[in-house]
Amino acid sequence: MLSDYLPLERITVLSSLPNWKEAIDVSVQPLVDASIVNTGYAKAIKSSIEALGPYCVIAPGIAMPHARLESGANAIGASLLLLKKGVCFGGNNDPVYIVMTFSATDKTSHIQLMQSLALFLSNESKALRKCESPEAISALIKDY
Amino acid sequence: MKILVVCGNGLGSSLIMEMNIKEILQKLQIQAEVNHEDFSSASSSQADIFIAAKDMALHLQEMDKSPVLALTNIFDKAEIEKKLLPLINR
Repeated sequence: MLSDYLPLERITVLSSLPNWKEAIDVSVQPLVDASIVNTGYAKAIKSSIEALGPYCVIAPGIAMPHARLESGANAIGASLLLLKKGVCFGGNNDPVYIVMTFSATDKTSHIQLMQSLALFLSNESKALRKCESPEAISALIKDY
Repeated sequence: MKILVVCGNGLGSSLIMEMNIKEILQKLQIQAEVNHEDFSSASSSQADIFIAAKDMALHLQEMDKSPVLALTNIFDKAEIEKKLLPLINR
């Protein structure tokens, strides 16, 4: 179930953030707090985006940032940051409202998480954007 | 036919795109080998069709990979099907 990887304490709703770098920092923090990733993870994500552009913004308004396996991932997990006003990453799919950051420990064990995330974001991104609290988002997640 | 799905790290969006593509191929009863790789591995790979999200697709095109299918929304199976069919039928 998606909630196994994305519990309530890793869901954040904010009005806005000044820039995409802060969005990455804020979205990674719950994963650091849970020791799912190390403190270098956010920096690795930001470096990749600086090098390759906003390739993690994979649908209109939705980013799925993550870093390479060797960049400090300790376990499989996800965090969700909803930004009511959106933030720009500099690409075609801006502004970004949903930042779904995740961590994987090898190339295949997280397939179930990816399937659940894909289904959830595919079906619920409209409803997700209307949520005003982590509890409301958690209620959306429970069927996935 | 060999289809290569590419994303930045090879374990996130490329996995999702690969799942969606395989589903569409099965629905259309088209046989093809579908794999996913990260961007740096893809630079030395060959395929009949490269698929990536738009921002990554630009990088593949810059490396003269062709044809490259650029997706705006990796979750949108209708978009994938609409863009994939003409390339398969070429």
